[in-house]
Amino acid sequence: MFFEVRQVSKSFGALKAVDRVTLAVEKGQVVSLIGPNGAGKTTLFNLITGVIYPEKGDIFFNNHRITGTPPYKLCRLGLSRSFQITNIFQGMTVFENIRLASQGQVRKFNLLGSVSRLTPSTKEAERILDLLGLWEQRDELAGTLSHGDQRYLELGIALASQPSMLLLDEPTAGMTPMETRASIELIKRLREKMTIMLIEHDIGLVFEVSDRIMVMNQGGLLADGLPNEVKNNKAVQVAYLGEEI
Amino acid sequence: MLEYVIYVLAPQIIHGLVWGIVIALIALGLTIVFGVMDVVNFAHGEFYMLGAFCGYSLLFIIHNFWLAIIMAGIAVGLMGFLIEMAMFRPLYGRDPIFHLLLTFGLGMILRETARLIWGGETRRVEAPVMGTIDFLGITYPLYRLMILGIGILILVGIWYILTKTEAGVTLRASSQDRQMSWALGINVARVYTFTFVTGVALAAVAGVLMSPIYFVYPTMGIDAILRAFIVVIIGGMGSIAGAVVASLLIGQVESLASLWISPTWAETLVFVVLIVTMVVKPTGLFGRKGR
Amino acid sequence: MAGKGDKSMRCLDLLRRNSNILIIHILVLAGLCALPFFLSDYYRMLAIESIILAVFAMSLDLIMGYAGIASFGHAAFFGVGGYALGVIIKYITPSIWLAFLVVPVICGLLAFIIGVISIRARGIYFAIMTLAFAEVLYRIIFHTHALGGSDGLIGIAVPNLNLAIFKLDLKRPINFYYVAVVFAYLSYLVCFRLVESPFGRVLKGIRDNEDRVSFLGFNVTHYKVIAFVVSGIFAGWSGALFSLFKTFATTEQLHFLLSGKVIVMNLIGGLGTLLGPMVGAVFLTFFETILSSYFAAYHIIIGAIFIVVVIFLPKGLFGLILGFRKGK
Repeated sequence: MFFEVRQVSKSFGALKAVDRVTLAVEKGQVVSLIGPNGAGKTTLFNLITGVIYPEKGDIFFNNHRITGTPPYKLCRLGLSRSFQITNIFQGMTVFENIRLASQGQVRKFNLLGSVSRLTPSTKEAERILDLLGLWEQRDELAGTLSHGDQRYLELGIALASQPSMLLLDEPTAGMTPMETRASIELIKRLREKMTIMLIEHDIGLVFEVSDRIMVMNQGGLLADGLPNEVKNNKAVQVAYLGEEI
Repeated sequence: MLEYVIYVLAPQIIHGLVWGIVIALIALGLTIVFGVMDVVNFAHGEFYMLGAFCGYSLLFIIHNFWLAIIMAGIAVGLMGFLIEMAMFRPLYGRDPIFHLLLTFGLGMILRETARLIWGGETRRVEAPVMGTIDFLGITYPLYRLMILGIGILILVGIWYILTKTEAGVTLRASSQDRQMSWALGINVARVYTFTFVTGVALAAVAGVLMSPIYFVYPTMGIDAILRAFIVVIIGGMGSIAGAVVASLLIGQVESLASLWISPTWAETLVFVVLIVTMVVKPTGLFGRKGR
Repeated sequence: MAGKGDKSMRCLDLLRRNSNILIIHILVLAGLCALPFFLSDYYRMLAIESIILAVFAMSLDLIMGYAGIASFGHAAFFGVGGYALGVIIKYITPSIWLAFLVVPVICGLLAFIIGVISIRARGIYFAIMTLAFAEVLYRIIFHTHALGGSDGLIGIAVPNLNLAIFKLDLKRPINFYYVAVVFAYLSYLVCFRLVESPFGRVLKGIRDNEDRVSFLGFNVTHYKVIAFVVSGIFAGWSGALFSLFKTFATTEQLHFLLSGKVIVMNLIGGLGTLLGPMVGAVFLTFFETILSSYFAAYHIIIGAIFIVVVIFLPKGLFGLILGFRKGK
């Protein structure tokens, strides 16, 4: 298995935010994590990416045990993440945002070198800007972008780390239908190069791109299977709608 | 051995208690202001100093020490009110460092103004009660015991206000969750002003209380603020219980340490305790704000 | 098609693009070199002092303006640098070069220790840790009789500066002035290079959004500590030059009021500009000295200016100018 979560649990006081979640993702798959608000999806992402430590359980990525590994090390291992609440560098230009992200792949400390000579990072940044359609805005301050463009930038920053696995937390949150459509196409292109796990509320998107869907509710994993299986799963329907249809 | 305990150790422990309570009174204002307003008031020591000077001057007019305490508290509280409205308000919502810098500049101004008004020499204030009292074989200055008593009364009073009255609950709510409090209709601006005024008034009261023992001079605030800071950090910024516990702890550390090492090294030891605490638990003993 | 012609084309292009900046540099340097001839002895001394303090202010900008790390105890490095120089020149060997080689090692090491211990604390807590360390150092030095105690380390005999071709007599203020200018200029160049480097970009990222930076693959702690060490080194160098200039080292150079003053210089000048804090330092030094001769309670005015800057000009004077240039 390329990526595995085994019996991971985390409580905040009396609240069981994540309860013995176990899941596995094969290389090259696109997997979606859905569930009502407060189900623990983002908390699970935080546990995976080293923001918080699980009380129990383990996480494995590409044959490495990554439980509790700090974020910067995960990035170097090839695991990258985007955030639900836009987490970009507001005071830097769009270009600088992405270039900094791609610079993260350079391991040496470079105190006196010139930034413009970092050609690999610069080229990578240009490529991503082009991919995301942000080339026109590359010299604008990230903080001045429209919400949709900021979400793209958010994604771009995660992409610039050249991950082999990408964790996307509600990438289309607040996007217009057109932007969402573009995002779907983007995800389809990205899956050729990386494994993707995404948290989403847009069920249409989820069903269109996912190989498998996992449903969380109240900290636990409710369902895990092919899109059609999940669609017909009674427990899932109850969790979402509160009653059987 | 018993003699040592009675004549040396016990008085020193009580010294430590008195000193601890005084630090607590100064630190309390600082930690409450931080807890509710997210403001680190670098000029807090200057309000302590102004309280002492006000008390000193008032005593020439009203000859009643206790009255002077109350009036000094009110006077400084009023100053705090004006300062908060004029200078603090424009900065809410900005990076917290701005308040820090603002209060640093404010401290400078207050120090120099005090120097301008009262001059730089040290003033002496007479204690309202003189003499010593004998108990358990120890002879101890009566006034210091009174400070201890008054300090405890004030602390208990504050604890009561914060836990049993509506105003207090509002205050605590605002400190825990500003947005929510505001959404619930609490006038956060007014709470802020009230908090700040109370905080500096407390410091002023402490200033007057301590003036017979540590005298009055324009830079007395600097010594006070350093200790107050240490105590607030060790106890956890925003935690009142923490400030009290840390104050008593530091009071004892300084007091007992000076039995074996010189008082100035005992002072340095306090800073070392701070460093150690922060290495072990960066947000302080009772700290809850994870910033 | 790579070739010799291409390389010279690139050089010419680089020169053409940077010619404006080059001209400004030359003009400023020329102005600074000519300045002492227009100043009286008193103001010349003041200029030297303000130039040295300008480097101190810039050293703080490296961490405060670029990495977003506040330090309330930066005077510790300034003072330790001064004392280190005093000890070396007085008791070990009167060689300025040697002193200036040893000072960065001492101050860098000190910054490393303080940085590593304090780094777990964030924001205001880190700042107060630095204050605590500075206070401990202040008290230790204050009570160390070998270092002069409360009187300080006095009577540092200023040796000549051995420049291979000739020896520069540093007891003449005008010579010291030029040394200070060279020191400040070189320091600025190095710091400028530093903040524009890949390393510097990460620092800016840390100031903007520290949490995200670690998700990009950077070990933020390492970056912060390195920045802190570099900052401490420049602060130490400026402190050493200061003590050499004054021929003494006192505990006032470690006092938290100096730590506060250098923060004021940074803020008035404008954080994150390198030049801003330097200007702020010069401004504050001159302003303070001139004002104090007229008005004994001049601190009130400085405090008032400071408050006005904090409330109305958060980007500092330099930041304001830069803002105009960007055509806001």
